[in-house]
Amino acid sequence: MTRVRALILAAVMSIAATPHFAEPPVVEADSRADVVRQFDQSSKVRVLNFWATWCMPCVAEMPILQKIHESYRERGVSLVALSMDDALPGSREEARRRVETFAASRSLSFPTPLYVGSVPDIESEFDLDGEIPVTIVFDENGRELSRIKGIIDATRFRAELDRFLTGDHRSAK
Amino acid sequence: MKIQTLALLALIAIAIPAFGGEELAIGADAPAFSLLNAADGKYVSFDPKKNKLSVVVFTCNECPYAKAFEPRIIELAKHYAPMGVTFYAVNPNDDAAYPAEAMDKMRARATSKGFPFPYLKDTDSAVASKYGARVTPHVFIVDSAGRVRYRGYVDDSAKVEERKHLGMSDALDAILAGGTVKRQSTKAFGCSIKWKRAS
Repeated sequence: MTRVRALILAAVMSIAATPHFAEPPVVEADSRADVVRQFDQSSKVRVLNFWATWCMPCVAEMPILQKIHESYRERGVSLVALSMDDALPGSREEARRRVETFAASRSLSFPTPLYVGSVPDIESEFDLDGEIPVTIVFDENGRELSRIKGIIDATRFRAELDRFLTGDHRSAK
Repeated sequence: MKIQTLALLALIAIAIPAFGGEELAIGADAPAFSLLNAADGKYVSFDPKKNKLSVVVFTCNECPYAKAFEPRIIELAKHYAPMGVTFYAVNPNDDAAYPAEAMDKMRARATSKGFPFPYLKDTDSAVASKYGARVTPHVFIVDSAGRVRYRGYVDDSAKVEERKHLGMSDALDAILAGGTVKRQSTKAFGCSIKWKRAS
């Protein structure tokens, strides 16, 4: 019995010792549909961030996004950061490794798919104007709720997510 | 959050305020400018109506995406020079916040890469703002009437093997042939300009 207890205790401790947030594998996406598939489909609010490891403001923004993800993922917000690393010359494998290494070094626990399609195509799909980072918030039906160019202001962004989650943005209109 | 990250965030927040004007429209008058050429320390003036055809490309030292297009811009400048096309490379990044964009570093880059065009320092980012440039690289082609005939990317991909549309060269070919540019306006993609903070 003591042995069983010890085993259970060891198992519990091993679960507790496992990092709560694991980095998801970096998958490839080459269309809007691919990107949309990365969201938790049960989420009410979906946040899409465009970034790259070579973009300094994007890199600086990542810890903010990770904190947002940690605070809001249980509340129905799904965050995906689409990497534009493959836009640079070099192999796709190199780009993927860059993203994986970066995500691991920052313990990013939200999906960071690698965009492998044409840059102008994705810009048209999401009406981007060439600059990253850009963060777009959608509702569960894919309707755009807001768009932030440049680094997000964490406090303002949290307030915005709160409004979207409670539906206050609808009644305000 | 680490102190380093906080410092970087603060630096970036300072260096990237909401700045920059509307991208010049096709047909708009291109603003003239006079800027210091990092390559030789002399001023270069751009009078839009003086050249047969001009290319103003906003670029910089450090942006990986701009650097990826650098050989292509050099190649095109050499190719089109005999046809009367004059290239100007303009670096609008704030070198106080980003020392790697300073004049001495620009000079070193222009020399080591053999730039066949002046590499101009837009010290207060004012020229980039007037053109409505957003990123590096961002291209504007100006005809002999001083009007913008093309704006946007160099090519649609930095990967040679994935290029489907040649933005700058298709536009130059069309204008030089007296025709119309099929894609006059494309979306430049790259690193956001590191705007000089108003003092």
